[in-house]
Amino acid sequence: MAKKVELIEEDQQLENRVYELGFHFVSTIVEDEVAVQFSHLKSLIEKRGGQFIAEEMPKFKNLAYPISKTVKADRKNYLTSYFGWVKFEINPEEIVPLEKEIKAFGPMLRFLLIKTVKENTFLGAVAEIKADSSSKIVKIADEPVEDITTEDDATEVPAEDAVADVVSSDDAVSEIVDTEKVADIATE
Amino acid sequence: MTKHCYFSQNNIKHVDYKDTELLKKFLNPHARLLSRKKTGVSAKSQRKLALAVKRARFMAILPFIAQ
Repeated sequence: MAKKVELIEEDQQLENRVYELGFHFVSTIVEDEVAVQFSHLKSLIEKRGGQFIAEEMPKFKNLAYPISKTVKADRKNYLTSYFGWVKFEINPEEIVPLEKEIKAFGPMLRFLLIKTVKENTFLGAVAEIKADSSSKIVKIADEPVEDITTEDDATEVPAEDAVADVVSSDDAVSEIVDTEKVADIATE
Repeated sequence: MTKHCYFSQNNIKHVDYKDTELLKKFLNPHARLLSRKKTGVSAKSQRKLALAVKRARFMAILPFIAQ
């Protein structure tokens, strides 16, 4: 019986789960400092055995409504922040202590830690070109995130391919026309 | 009149709270979520959409109320 329990526990330890951490850093930190703080935040996840799947560097953003942060007796309202996110795989047992650490993290204004899937869920601008062809969206959505560093790349890749296709087909057409001309001249 | 679910048509399985442009399509000028009656979104997708909108509101990506 005891052995069975141990086995179950081992299985649970092996099973990692995908999480996504979205966060706002306070806008009072210097822009150069943002990358440093971001790497500090990532090191917290890494220490607990987290493996990164995708991420986006914090970017300066206007908030939809003011968020207040109280540090000791000092309360401040923020209308801007640096918003970024990181998707990672981690043991579910580590998530509660990790959440506490993130909460205590210095420049953190607000964060959201959610369960998610490994695939890229952020369509971004891709959703806008859905009218052109829905099949492209499917491809991007089903692609593993590891191949896509940022969603900008994801949107660019199909566009470049399309341009390349057009160019190559144009060339082919012109070649055909040329050969026909040559053939015509030859017959004359 | 036939109803078309935006999400099943575009094969969107997961609704991301960061996707503001997508979420805004399903909000009225007061930033309230539109009903399924108006959008034709399937029940399953509507639940996902509502969760994403609520997450986006918490993260101040979308407003709770807009004038």
